[in-house]
Amino acid sequence: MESKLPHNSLQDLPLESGAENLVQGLTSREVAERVATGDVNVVVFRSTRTYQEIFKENIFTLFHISFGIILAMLAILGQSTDAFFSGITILSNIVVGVVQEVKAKWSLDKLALLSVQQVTVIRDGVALIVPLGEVVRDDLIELKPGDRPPVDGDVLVSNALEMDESLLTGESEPMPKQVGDTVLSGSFCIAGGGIFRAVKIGNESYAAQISQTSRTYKRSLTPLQRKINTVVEIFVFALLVAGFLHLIASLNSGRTPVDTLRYAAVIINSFVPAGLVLSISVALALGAVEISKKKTLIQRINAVDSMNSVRILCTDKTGTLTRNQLLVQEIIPLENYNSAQLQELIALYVSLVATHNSSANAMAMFIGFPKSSARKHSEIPFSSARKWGSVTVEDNGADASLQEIIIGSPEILLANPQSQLKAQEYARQGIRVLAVVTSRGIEKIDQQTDQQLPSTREDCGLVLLKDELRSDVIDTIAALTAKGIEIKVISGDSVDTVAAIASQAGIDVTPETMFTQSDLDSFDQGKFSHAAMHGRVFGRIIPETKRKLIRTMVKRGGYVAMVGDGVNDVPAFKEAQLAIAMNDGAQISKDVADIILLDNSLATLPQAFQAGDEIKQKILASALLYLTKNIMVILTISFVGFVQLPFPIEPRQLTVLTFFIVSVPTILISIGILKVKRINNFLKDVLGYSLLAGLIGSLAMTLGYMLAYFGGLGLLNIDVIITPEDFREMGQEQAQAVSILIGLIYTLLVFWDACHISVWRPKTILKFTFPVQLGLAMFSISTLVLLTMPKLFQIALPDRLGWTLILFLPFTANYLLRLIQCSSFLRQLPRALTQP
Amino acid sequence: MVKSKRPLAITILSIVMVTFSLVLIYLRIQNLRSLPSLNPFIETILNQNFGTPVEGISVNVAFFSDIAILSISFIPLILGVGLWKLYGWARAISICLLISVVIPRTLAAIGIITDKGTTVGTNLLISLASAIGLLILLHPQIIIIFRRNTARKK
Repeated sequence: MESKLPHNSLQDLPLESGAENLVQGLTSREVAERVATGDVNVVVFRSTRTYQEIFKENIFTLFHISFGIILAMLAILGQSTDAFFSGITILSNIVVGVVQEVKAKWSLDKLALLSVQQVTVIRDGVALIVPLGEVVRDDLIELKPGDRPPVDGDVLVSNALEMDESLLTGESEPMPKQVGDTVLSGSFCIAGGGIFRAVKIGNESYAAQISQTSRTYKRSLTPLQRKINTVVEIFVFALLVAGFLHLIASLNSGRTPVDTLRYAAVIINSFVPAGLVLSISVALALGAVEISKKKTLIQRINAVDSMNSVRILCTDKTGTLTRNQLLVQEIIPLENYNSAQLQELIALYVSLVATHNSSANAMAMFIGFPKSSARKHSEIPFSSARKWGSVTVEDNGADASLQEIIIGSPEILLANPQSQLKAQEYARQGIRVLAVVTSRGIEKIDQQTDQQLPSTREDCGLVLLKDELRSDVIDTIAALTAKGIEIKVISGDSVDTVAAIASQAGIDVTPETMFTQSDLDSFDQGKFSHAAMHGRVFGRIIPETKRKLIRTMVKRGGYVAMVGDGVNDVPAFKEAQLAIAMNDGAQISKDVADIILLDNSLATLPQAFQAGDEIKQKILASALLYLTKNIMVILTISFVGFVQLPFPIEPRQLTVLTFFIVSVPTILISIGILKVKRINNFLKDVLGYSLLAGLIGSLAMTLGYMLAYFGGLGLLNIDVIITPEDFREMGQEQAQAVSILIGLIYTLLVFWDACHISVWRPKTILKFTFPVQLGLAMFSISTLVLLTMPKLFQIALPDRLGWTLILFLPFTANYLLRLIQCSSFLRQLPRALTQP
Repeated sequence: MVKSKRPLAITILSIVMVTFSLVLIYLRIQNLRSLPSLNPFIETILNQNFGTPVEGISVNVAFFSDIAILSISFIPLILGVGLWKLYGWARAISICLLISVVIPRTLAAIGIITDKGTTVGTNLLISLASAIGLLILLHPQIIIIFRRNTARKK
């Protein structure tokens, strides 16, 4: 795409001698040559994981490796059937995980193209806007505030160019860049402008060489991920202990190496909820695709879950609440100036300033061109931290004196208290007010090294800029507030302007909840924290304070999302747990954001939050099923071990239970086919429930196993007396059949419970027919598989007593579970345990 | 507080369950007493020259079988007492128990599942008795009485 050069581009830039030829850039032929030789900036989209990462993370997990070794040993020892059945678990995990993540990657990569960085390069003396991947070596690349150099290079033209290298070096002070200095990819232009020549492209660039690029600097886990990780870590720790005990028990009881390995496979399979990790990654990947349909690009996969945790949403006023289409409403001359003089000063400023922000564009459109032919002597570019910018002009008159035109925040620039009051009045009406002041007779000094505000200033006038609220913002704020999210506006504008616009948007603002930069500066740490937590509107805030506010909110326990679009939001983005950028915002803000709102509208946020909530529910439901099954099997193995009976479950039997009754339903839950009941709290509703349900289920399985084991012996003649070796073997197969069938029915009841279905309330069975049908189908298939191939699954068909136990114990256990859940016992338990 | 009136059917059912349980317990204890030793491992008997024809350490399987069935036999007793007091949980678990008796007994009677220890007639009889018990517990008026009793206790 070819574009006209911006008015302030090449012709206005002060070029070093000899640079005139250089800024013509490469010719079309030179570009074609470089493309032919592959000297092009190869772009790797970091919005999603690479295929290599997806395969690596799904295949080479600790669980898969340790389990794989045991299965290989089993196969070597001739137990290939056990190895095969246990291997199905791993294989299905890998296949489902990889397929879903690759599909999600395709969708997200397509979407990522919409937000890919565009770069302005100069070729044949013309500025062209090209995608990042079309930049070639030696291309001349323009930089303006908010731009991120896509490659490393040397500065050819610097117009007060200041780069922020904090993402690379941690240094928060902006670095001025002169001609010949190096700009690095991963840094970004904070003020001024310039042109640099691409020297190191693709993998040679700084950002590519260090792993910590601006996009990948943050690898934080969401609260839910942290909790689930803790649970998995506890399980793995318990596995180590159980594994050691298993080994000792095997040596002590003279168990064969084959049996030791077979049962080790069961123990590992029971302790590590590998399918849970799978269903979480599937839910997150599909969630990212789902949310992307709402014109929201997810750049960090767990941002999907993160969205659901947000309790405080901080936003910048401009561009998020308002349209960010500033229009000059009026210019108000002050003191000795008339309208024409003020107009001329503004026209000079906007025509000479190197880069235009939205305010400068609005002023340029309103004022037009200056009448005088004054030349620019120097410039201090506008920055959010300074809150003002200036242009020093040389008069062509005989005295050749210098005049500095300064435009910026009225609170900082205006000298006269009356003028300050006037500016404040306008601000209270929600109007953005800029002050225009001048300083005359200043010495010819290099202002770029001394960027101080002149002490003698003359108030010239005010510029009133109006920005309209976005049409959907009131509904959006109402929807977010209804979800219990507190909205805070942190802006560089005057606090009165911000408060007025926030009120119009529906945010409840009172004088006690309004704070300015100077208020915050005067506060000690305690008051600052209080202001951060209770304030609703923060005005004239510099980026560093914005960052401090967010950090304080996070420290005080709020889960904070930050919506922004400007370069000044980047430090705050780094502190926030969820960074949300607008698609039309500065490139660097998009690079570091977790989520990009592709249509620049906040209105998609409530929908995206809703989708995030649904994904969390899917993860919690999967966790509930997996943890219940795991706890149930672990406790059954332990309880049966107490009475020194043979191992209660074979690897192949456990595979049937896991695959049909847990894995299939959780995958269907993850892809959204099955709806589950709302789960609010991980600790209470998932972990607490799983512990209780697992314990009761294990009691049912153990009782069933023991009674079937001993009861089955009653069929023998009363005088039969046998050796202990025969005794251990004879009842095991029937007992295992009874115990696995009890496990199947009980887990099915837990699954139905998660889908609002209770066998004790027949209406629910008729209401939610799909989970009922699915559960019955899965149970029938698994039971048929087990009973039609008893030899393969090492079971004996249960006798009458066995069937009585199979029917009686799981339903009774489920009823007892409901009874305990409904009783006051559980509510009183924590208090009873904590009392001395 | 007005005490709810216990239906005659429930009174009979609970008496039958308690009686059945007591009979089972009695039979099992008798069975245990008839065993050569209450010790499941016969080794000690051999060492004490009791004359039991065993070699080395042996296991008295009937002992384990009796202990298992004895423990199951207590369930109808507990449920019978619960039904007598019109507890909701007793009704729910009794339904579970009766269903899990009716189905396997019927299947055993028609020969689908194995049951070497009991005759077809016994199976049919127990199945029929359990089915009658089940019908009592699932009768709408009985359900209302149990619900009312549970609500009053709350």
